[in-house]
Parts: sequence; structure tokens; C-alpha cells
Amino acid sequence: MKSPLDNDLNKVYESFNQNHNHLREKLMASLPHSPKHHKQAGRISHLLAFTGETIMRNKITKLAAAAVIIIAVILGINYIGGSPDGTSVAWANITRRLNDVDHVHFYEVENHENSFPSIREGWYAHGQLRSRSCGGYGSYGGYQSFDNGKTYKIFDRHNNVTAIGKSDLSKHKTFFEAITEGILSLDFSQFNNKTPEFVSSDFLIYDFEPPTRESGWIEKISVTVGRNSLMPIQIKTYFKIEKWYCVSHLLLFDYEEPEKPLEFFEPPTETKPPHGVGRVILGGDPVEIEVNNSPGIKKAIVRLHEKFDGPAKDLLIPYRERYEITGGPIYFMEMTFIIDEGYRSITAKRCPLWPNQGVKAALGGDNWPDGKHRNVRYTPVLKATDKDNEFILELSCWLRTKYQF
Amino acid sequence: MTTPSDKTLIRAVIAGENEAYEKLYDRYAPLVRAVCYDMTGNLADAQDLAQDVFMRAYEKLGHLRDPDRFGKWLVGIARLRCKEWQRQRLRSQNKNIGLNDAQAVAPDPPDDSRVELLREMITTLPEKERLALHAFYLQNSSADNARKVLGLSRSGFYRVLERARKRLERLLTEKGDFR
Repeated sequence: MKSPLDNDLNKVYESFNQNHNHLREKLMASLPHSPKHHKQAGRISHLLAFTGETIMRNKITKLAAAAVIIIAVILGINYIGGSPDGTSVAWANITRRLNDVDHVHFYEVENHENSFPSIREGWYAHGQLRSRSCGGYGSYGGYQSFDNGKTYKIFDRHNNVTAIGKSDLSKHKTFFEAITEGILSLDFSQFNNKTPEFVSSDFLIYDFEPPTRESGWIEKISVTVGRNSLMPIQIKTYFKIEKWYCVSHLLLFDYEEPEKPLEFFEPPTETKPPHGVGRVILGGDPVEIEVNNSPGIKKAIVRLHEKFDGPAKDLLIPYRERYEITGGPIYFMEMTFIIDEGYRSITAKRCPLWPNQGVKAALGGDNWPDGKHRNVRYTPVLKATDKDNEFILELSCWLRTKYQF
Repeated sequence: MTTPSDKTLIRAVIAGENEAYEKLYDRYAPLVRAVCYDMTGNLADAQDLAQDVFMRAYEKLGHLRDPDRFGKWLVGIARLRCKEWQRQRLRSQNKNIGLNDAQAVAPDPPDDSRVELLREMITTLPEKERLALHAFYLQNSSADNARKVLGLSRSGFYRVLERARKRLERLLTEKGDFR
């Protein structure tokens, strides 16, 4: 006879069979006729066709492709007839030069297979980093992040903090090292003696194989530096085909813009009004919150069901880092949305809430009754009242109908 | 009728019979999703990652030296893929481009707080114990199939499984069982 624990464990594991048949059909439909090692040539041509199609389908990548061709032609001409001097500039010279950089303005473009490119603009100065993203988020865009060298914070469009974590800058010696996750570092000794693959009168281009720990997903990294300045102008990362992440990643650096003042790196302090507000009681009944001024979303149903003040190791892995930084208590709630068409979203059973801070969260995908894609992105903010177990929940939410990263 | 072994199915896939891969998928996909869930805490992401793991496994099937260890090999790919996912996620979070589609912060039903609590507790167990539970409960409670995934003897597997169950029972008691 099975014990109650066995029965509960069977229930836990039932959920890993959800959508199994549908997922199997999707996988089988996307497999090539037979495994890669038997069809190497076919696979390569498939990849080339795929890459070409991806580039030419998209306006920005189309322009970028055109620019690459122009640059390649110029480089080709110069490579054939150019001066040989630049060929001996070892990569270590570039990384040493980067130690002197105290402010940078940059753009970052990521191209994805089935969605718009994600674009981010950022500024680094005074040992701090501020950035904002647009493009990829479409109408949901406008996320900002502030990294003060110790922690980073991400803010949604209503200026609610939605994520907190350890600073990337703190893990590296220079900004360039941080933004390339250590690739532009003197510590990568295997890179230091590397000389450029291409030399023109204006540029040096270095091509790197990824370090071993990144070789599972990065194909190649190409860095273009100014021949006189020895400063990076662009860093392009080519990824191995990733079905749901980016195909390529481009960093462009601008050294013209003057250094931003210190106050520019101060995070926002005033939030915008939420789309809905409700009073919730810990352990109480579900509460309906009317949603206003957020097209497509009618209401939310929330239930605050748990307070947590234990050790971080008892939390799910994705919540631990933030919890270690902020400490407890935190709360958990159930969250369901009802959209204008009257459909109910799936329910997030244990959405974590940090008092007076937001959480970056989303619900739904292709699993609506009419089969259309909808993703509700929301930021719940729990605020204390004069009663211990009673809170005000402020909710900002946006409905997204196109698949985007 | 006997169930074909992993070895038989893998040979068939390499010979070009993709239907055999469907059978391997049925056998191992829930386990791979569970392993991915441990790292993501999110069922939607775990499902996506598991699909990717099976794509990779398919492409690398010819490199598998011991077809009898397919399950263990698959779990290894899943772990590697999840580590990549975590790095990518960290990168994109820092850059504000982090939310994957359908990224509910908590998994979908079952609608039962004890079950929900149990699921969360499993993610806090040591990796070996977690994997023993996944393999056992997702392989029709068959220790013979499950032990292969961990590369353990039958008795060794039962020891790990028992330790995992005891730890879960203790955690449930400490938490007051129901919340």
C-alpha cells in the first residue's frame, strides 16, 4: 500500500507530464530526418539557409548585413594592399588600454530567431552602470537598470523595483570585462598573444574562439578595435543555434558622448500610479482587483497565503540571491488574471513578494482557450498597513500579444 | 510484449527510424523536465529547456558510447543546458531583457498546498537525492530503471531514495505539514 507521502509525490510528478503529447509532436516535427552525424552536409546547408533567412527577414539585421558586406569589401581591399604593421598588435595591448577607460556610452543589440531584436542603451561612469532597454519589449519596453558597483536593481515602467542582485561590475576589474563577462580580460591568458585576423588602415579585427566554459553556446567572438586608439568599436558574438535565445549579439561603443554626472546614476525614487489596488489579508480569501488603464486586462484575483522568514536554502533557487541581499520576511500569493475577452489565465501559485518592492513576473503564453498568444507581465508591490496581517497590494500589469524576449 | 530497451531504440534512431526517438522521449522527457525544473523553478521554462535537451541529444546520439546509459547521459546534457540557461538569464536580467515567455514565477497546478510545498522542498534536497526521487517517481516507481539514471546498484539506489524520503518527511514535519 502506498503511503500518503507516495501519493503526494505522485501528484507532484504528474505535473511534469503536462502537455506531454503536444510537446512530443512539436519536437518530432522539428527534428531533421535523421541525426546530425548522418546528415552533416544537409545540416550545414540547413543552418546557412536558416541564418540567411533570419538576417534578411528583419530590417535591422538586413541593414547590418549590408554594412558587414561593405566593411568586408573595404577590409578585403585593405587587407590585400594594407600595411603589415598592425598585424603584430597583440590583444594584451588592447586589454591594458581598457584599464584607463573611465566612462563609456554603448548600445547592445540582440537578434532572436522568432522575435524583434532587443536593444539596450547604457552608460558607464563613476564605477556605476545605468541602462535602459527598448525595442525587444515593444509596448512593454522602458525597463531600466542601475548598478552601483555592489548591487544592481531593475525598475519597470512604473519605476517599481522588480529585481535585485549582486553587481556584475563587482565581479570584474573593469567595465569591459564585466560587459563581456570576462572575455576582455588580461586573465584570459590564451587570448593575450593573439594578433588580429584582419588589418585595415582604420581597424584591427580579432577573432576569438570562446573560452571552454562558454563553448557550449558561443561560436565565435569578433572584436573590432580602432587601429590608432586601440579601443573596441564593436564586439560581435556569434551564438550556436539557440532556439529560444539570441542568434547574435552586438555591442557598439561610443566614446564621443561626454561623461554623465553622478546624479544620472541615481535610481528613480518616485513610482507611477499602479493599474490596480486591493487590500489583502494573509491567509484570507481571494480578492478581486479591478485593473484600469491597462489595455486588454480586466481584473486580477489574488490570495496572500504564506509568510516566509526561513533560511534562503529553503527557497527556490531563482529567489535565493535576492532574499540573501534583502532578508525576510517575504510573502507568497496566488495570482490569476482575467482579460477583456473574459478568459482566465493560469494561476501562479506561489508568486514571491518582497515588502515595498516589486517582482518581475509573467503569466500565460499560448495556452488560452482561443489559442492566441498572450503574456501578462506584472509587478505586484505589497505595502504594509497598521495591521500585522493586512496589506495593500499595488499592481502594475501589461498585456503582450506578440512573442518577444 | 516486452518493452524495447534504450539500446534497441537508439540503434533504431541511428538507423533513421525517428519513431524510436518518440519512445525515448516518452520514457525520459518528464525526468528531464524535472531536472530542469530544479534549476528554473518554473514549469514553462523547464519544458522549453527539456525540448532543447532532446534536440541536442538527438544531434549527438552518435557520440553516445554506452547506449545503456542513455538516461544518465541525457541528465548530464540537461544539467549543462540548465547551467547555460542560468548564465544567460543572469546576463539578460542585468541587461533588462530577461523575461522568458510565460515565465510565471510559480509552477502551474496541482492545486494543493501540500503538494506545492512538497515540490518546493524537493528542490532544496541534495542533488543525488533529488535525482533519485525524480527517476523513481517518473519511471513508474521502478528502481531498476531509476538506478541506471544515477549509475547506482539496486541497494545503493534504495539507500539514496530512502534518505531523500526521510529528509522530506522531516521537512514536512518542521513546516507543520500544511500551510
